[in-house]
Amino acid sequence: MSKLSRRDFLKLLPGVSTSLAFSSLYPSLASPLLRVSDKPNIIVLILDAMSARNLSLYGYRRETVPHLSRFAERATVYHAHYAAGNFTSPGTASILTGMYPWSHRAINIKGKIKSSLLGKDLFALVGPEYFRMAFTQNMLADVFLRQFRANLEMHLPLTTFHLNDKPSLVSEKFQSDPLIPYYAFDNPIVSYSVLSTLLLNYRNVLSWKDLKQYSISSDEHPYGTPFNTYNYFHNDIVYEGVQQVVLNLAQQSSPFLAYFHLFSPHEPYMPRKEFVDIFPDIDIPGKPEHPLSRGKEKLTALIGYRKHYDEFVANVDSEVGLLVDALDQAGILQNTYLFILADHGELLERGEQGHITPLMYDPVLHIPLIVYAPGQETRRDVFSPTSNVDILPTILRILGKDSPPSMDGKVLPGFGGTDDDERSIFSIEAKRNSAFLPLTQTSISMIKDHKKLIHYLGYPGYEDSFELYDLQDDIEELDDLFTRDVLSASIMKDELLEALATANHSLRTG
Amino acid sequence: MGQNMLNRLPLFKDIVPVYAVIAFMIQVWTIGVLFGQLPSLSNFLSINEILAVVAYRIAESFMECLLVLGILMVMSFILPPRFLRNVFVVRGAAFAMCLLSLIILFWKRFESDPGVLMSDYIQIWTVAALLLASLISYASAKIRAVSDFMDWVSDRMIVFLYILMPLSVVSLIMVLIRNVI
Repeated sequence: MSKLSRRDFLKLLPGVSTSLAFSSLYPSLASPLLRVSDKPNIIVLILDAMSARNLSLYGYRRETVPHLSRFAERATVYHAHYAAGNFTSPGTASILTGMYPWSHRAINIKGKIKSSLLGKDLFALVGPEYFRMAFTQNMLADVFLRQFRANLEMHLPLTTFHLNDKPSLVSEKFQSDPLIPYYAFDNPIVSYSVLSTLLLNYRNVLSWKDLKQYSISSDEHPYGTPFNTYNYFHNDIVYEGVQQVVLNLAQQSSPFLAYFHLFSPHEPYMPRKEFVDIFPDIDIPGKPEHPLSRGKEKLTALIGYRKHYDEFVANVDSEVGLLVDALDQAGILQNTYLFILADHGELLERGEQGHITPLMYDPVLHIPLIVYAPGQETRRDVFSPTSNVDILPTILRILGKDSPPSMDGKVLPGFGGTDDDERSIFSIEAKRNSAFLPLTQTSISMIKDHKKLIHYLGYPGYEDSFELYDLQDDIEELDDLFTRDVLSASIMKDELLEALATANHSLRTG
Repeated sequence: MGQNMLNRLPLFKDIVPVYAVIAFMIQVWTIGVLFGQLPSLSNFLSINEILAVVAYRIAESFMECLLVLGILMVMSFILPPRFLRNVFVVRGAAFAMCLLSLIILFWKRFESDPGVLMSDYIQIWTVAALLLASLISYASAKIRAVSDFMDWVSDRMIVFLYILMPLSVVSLIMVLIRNVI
């Protein structure tokens, strides 16, 4: 297999401005060069913080995703698909390992996957017969790509398609030790302003001078330019870049696995001007503020956030539509499985805006999953519950490989798996819990047969609480049945507590 | 010729106390920040990984110490000897102490502000800090009490080198091992 070095690959990658100028030529340029292989390519496209509950594809009243809906007409649409965690670290690690957060232990903000799982991740298990590339704009997710770098032929730096001239990360200088220098020098989430050592801070702060032009509203972005920490970007440039990367990969001699974790529609919600004020007002049910809500946002503020979020989702949908069309026209989809999903959703209710929350309601966990198989011409809908832990087993099944028995996920229905309404799907939040200790402060959601049990454990003043909802009859999760549906509550509570005890016991026994 | 060039540099016995002041300010600050981050890091990094993070930070701060010392050495080389070389301990230590204190003050002042705001002030603050440090450094050799104080302080700082130097060397070796082997 011919492998390219990162330097070689970047040479192939034309400048973004050039790619913009010639984007219309891509299909005609790329098609004659396409590689023909008996092994399918795999593209995983993760849209950060995309909640299924705000997508028209899943019945939302605002027409937020016409392009995804169009694409879904020849793909498999999963209607009860859930994130395994409610923010980036646990949610993404579950995609990459096929395990729940209580197994992979990336439960903290900035957390990493436990070292013993290296070699049991997506990239290692797909194997070196594939050209494996990965790119993320999210610093928390980049931790994992650094952990798995040994099994990546290509790991694009997270600033690759960003606007500002932020200097390259210090840790990029340490190619043989990518993770620890990242924590030592680059990960600003340790402390946003004062980063690491006394004088190194100068380098970063001086580079922030040019950010001011992006932080204000512009004609193109009335709410300001999208950004992640101090990295500003335009989604059209990011998606053009992704498109160019895939077109280049398709010209290589080996099949490829391309993993993209793109930041939008993650907050701050900053759509382009074409998407501002495109939606009429809709009635938003007022929901009581939850005792564990951190934001304590008023309903009027939440309605405003929702409007901006929906506009941003529509913006992302437009870019995804262009990307998928370009790949289709270039003939790449003829031999490619395309997974479009999210790492977690977004909560805009009960006083909470965002996803750094202990709350586990559906908007922050229910996410889209659309899977296209080569040659698929008709839509298939799957209504049985599925989880992001199922992505890796499904990819392995597609490639004819077995999943390690330790994996929590199952093969998705439609790709060798079976519909199983009785299956229990877990989502876990434990960002304040040590990754090395049993879970004692955690929120756990368990979905089974249209019912959802939420367990809040160890929060001061809210130590040991349960809520039960019927998602079929009460989609807004307003009617807590825990004390009324005693049978369901008892059965599900026992199962949840047993699963938690097993996970905690496994941790103790290694 | 070579000997003449060397004569423009301060004596080794004068360099050590100045380096001690620089190392104390830079490396103690670095270690202090690290201690503040330990509770968070210990949530998801093993002890070995935390030690590696510490090694990278200490090794980098060691480089910063050498950089600041190097700047003072270059200034000593360029300026007439009576300006800096002959009073290297007093003026060097005063300059380093003042400049580094102002930088620390800057980071603390803007710690909770967004980086964009911080970047608004950093250049003017740096120029002001350099001017103030130069002024105080110049005055320190003229005022006997200040001069004696700088001598005393820099001499006392040397004791910290018995901790900071081995720490720096071990950290540097750890970083090299992690990246070479």
